[in-house]
Amino acid sequence: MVPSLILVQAQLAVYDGEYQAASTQNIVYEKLERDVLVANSIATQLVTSDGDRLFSDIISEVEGIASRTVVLNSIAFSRIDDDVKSVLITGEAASRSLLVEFRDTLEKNPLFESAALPLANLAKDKDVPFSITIIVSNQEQE
Amino acid sequence: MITRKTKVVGIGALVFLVTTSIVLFAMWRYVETKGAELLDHSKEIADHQARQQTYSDLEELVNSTKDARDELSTYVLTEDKTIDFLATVEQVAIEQGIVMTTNSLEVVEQEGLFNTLVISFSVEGATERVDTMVHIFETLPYHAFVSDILFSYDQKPVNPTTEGTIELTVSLLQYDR
Repeated sequence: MVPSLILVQAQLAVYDGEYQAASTQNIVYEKLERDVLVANSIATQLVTSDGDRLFSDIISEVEGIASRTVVLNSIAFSRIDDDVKSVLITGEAASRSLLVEFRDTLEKNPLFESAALPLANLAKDKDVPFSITIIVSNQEQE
Repeated sequence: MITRKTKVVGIGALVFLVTTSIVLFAMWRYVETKGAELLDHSKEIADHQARQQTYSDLEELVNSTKDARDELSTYVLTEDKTIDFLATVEQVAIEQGIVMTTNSLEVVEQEGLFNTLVISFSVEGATERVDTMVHIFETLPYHAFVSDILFSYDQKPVNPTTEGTIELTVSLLQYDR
């Protein structure tokens, strides 16, 4: 046992300097690995798309179309699964025909897939309050 | 018949045996510990030697990309930068001439290095300016997106106004994970 002990002690003494250097280097390497990991995570996060459709584009388009035919009272929409799926707008149209024209203009817009106007909204002929659900088109914009 | 001398020798031998056993056991434990330490050291040195070339290359690569990585990290928000971020956003709102207040801040825990910070703002001002503010939120130089909007309009013939809420979702980097 004593020879083993002497051998182990001697070997430990030989390795000591090398071990200290290796330990220091390994800490540096671990920091390098961490830096690379963080940079990779940031890059991955930045390239992750959260949907290309901008709310501001949709707002501008809806407000622009509405200003020609109706008065908007409210607009509400949320991002679902990283994309804008539908927009709920309420407002008042001077007449039933202007409201239908507004709905048709929305539907013709390539930004939107459809604009659902409940028939109940057409009961009045003048000063018609309305609520329209617009489905936003899935197609990417040019 | 066991004599007194035999008893003394017998007890002495027993004590010697026990003491020797304890000493030997302690030595064995010590050699065992030192042996394990030696194995550990030799493994660490072997690992180090095996990885040295790869890591030298990696170190060079990491050092040469430091500027790019530093720039990359400016595009994500960290908790310590959140206060400055909010102050900047509120300053932009003032410059736009709209009244904007922060309603709530909620950190949503996510997996990986990022959490999500959901900020709700109340806004009130000229419709055109509020729309511009939405566009500014959507083009912030951070990984962020507008997640919810609810606006009410007062469409007066002159200076139409908008009031409502904007919810902004920002990625929040957690360095300590």
